[in-house]
Amino acid sequence: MRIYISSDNGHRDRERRQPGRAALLLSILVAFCLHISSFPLYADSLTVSGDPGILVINSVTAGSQPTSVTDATTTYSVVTTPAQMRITGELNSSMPPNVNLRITLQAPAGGTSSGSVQLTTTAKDLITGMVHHTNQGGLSITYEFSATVGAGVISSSSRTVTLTLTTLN
Amino acid sequence: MKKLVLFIAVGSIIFAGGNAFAQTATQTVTFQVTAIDEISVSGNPGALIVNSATAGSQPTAATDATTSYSITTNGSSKKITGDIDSAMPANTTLAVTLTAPTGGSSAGQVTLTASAADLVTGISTLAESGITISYNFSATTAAGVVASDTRTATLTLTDS
Repeated sequence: MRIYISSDNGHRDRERRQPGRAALLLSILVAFCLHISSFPLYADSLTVSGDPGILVINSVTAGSQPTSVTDATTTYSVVTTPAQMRITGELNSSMPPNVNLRITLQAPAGGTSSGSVQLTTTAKDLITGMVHHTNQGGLSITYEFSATVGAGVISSSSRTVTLTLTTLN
Repeated sequence: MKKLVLFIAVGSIIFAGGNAFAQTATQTVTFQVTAIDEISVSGNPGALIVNSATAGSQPTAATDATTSYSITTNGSSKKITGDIDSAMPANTTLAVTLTAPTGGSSAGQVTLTASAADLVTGISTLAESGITISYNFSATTAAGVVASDTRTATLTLTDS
């Protein structure tokens, strides 16, 4: 007579491990689905066409302050979701004394331009009120550089201007 | 079941953290200010005519203070010099007085010759306009009659 002895311990062990692994995978899948369900079908983005030309103050009408110079050769493109968005601008470091750098961004459809804004190291609103989906390119960026005689002679210098697309609040 | 709920909660937290948003773009802006020195005048003075005298004295000099100058400089220690393009007729003198701009010093009345002479010194970083120019034309009797003639007076803003 043959006696067959079997143990299902291993089988029960495998059954205990498999539900844990399956639950982890399922939770990740559910969480991911919840997450991407809030995504638009497109991504928010802000890009610029390049750097402006060098801004050189070198002329004046006698008796007046030096003549300011402007550059409007660059543009920006923006894509936003239907949320309250804005664009801010700031410098990486302060301008020299007695000189100013101002920027004007053309507003995309539905947005509002703040007009000519003096750039500092503190972010300032340049475009506000973008509440609808926006997908627009070739929007003008205008820089104005001005100096008083008190600035003296300034050798070629540069600053990094950072434009940030962010939520309204 | 408890493990399943726990895993879902943890997974949601992990993915929820990815919703923070900001898009940036940068530009490099290069700028420069060169040396700027500019002077201009409002126009020409009226004709300077010596045509009277007090008996026993030399002819009475003629003056004109109808013109002015404007100046802008972003430098320091500048001066204004003046000269004329050719010598005056014998026994006649043309002199000019420039009022000094803020911070500068006027040399007073200076006889103009073909050599540049300091009219104002000590000029630094300023922008002013409408500053008075006064001309004085004098002649002795030895000059005789001098027909209408002209000279070009040049004012130069330059380094001291």
